[in-house]
Amino acid sequence: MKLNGIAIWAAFLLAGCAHSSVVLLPDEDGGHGEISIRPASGQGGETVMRDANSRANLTGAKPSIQPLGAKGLKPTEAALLASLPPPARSFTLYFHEGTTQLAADSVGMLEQIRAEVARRPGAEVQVTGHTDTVGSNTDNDALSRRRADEIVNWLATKGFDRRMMSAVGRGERELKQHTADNVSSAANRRVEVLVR
Amino acid sequence: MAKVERGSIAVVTGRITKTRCDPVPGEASSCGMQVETPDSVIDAHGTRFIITVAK
Repeated sequence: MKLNGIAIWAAFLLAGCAHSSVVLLPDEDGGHGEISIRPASGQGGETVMRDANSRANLTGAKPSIQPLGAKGLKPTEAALLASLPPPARSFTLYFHEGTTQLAADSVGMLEQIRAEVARRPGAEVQVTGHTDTVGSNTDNDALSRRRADEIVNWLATKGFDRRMMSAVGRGERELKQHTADNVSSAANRRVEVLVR
Repeated sequence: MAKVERGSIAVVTGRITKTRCDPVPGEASSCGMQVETPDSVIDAHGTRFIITVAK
């Protein structure tokens, strides 16, 4: 289940008796946020979890929060985490002005993308093309789409399923480097590839 | 709002906003990620979490 980039993974039935709980985990970058817990009845106060690797036991009138400690996660929780796919990975490739020809230092990245797609069973690839502000909006829309298509076509030649890949062109609408109109910018002539 | 039923375990992960906003009384919060269990309403902000709901 995915909601605007948020995913709920692999909910499954618990075999045995378990207590209801919430575990706050660190993010992939090591940071963490917080969780607030309120009774569904609407009666009673809010309990806030602020520490990563802590567990709130939901059994009882008010949640009690404790660090995970040496025991860590329960086996079912650890198994569920281990089953998650790796986090999405993004790549940016740059192009020569007005063309679909990759800049020399981006050519090597194609192989990295191929390897990343190959190591993920059922990988989805989202390719978004962009341009700088040289030229008309119409021409840049078309050019950005051709750049995206170029990457999808290359991946298809490596045996990846086109149905798992998408290509869109954003023209000069989403500049990486903000410039005036008709300004050449290597940073803006790019394709962003998201592999998940 | 997502729901986790009794006898289930779920991991929620992704780009969850770190911004926390106070909900209008009587209405669900529009920020972060909200999950409902039979007994609780859980609001997460900028984090990953595991929910276990006993049978």
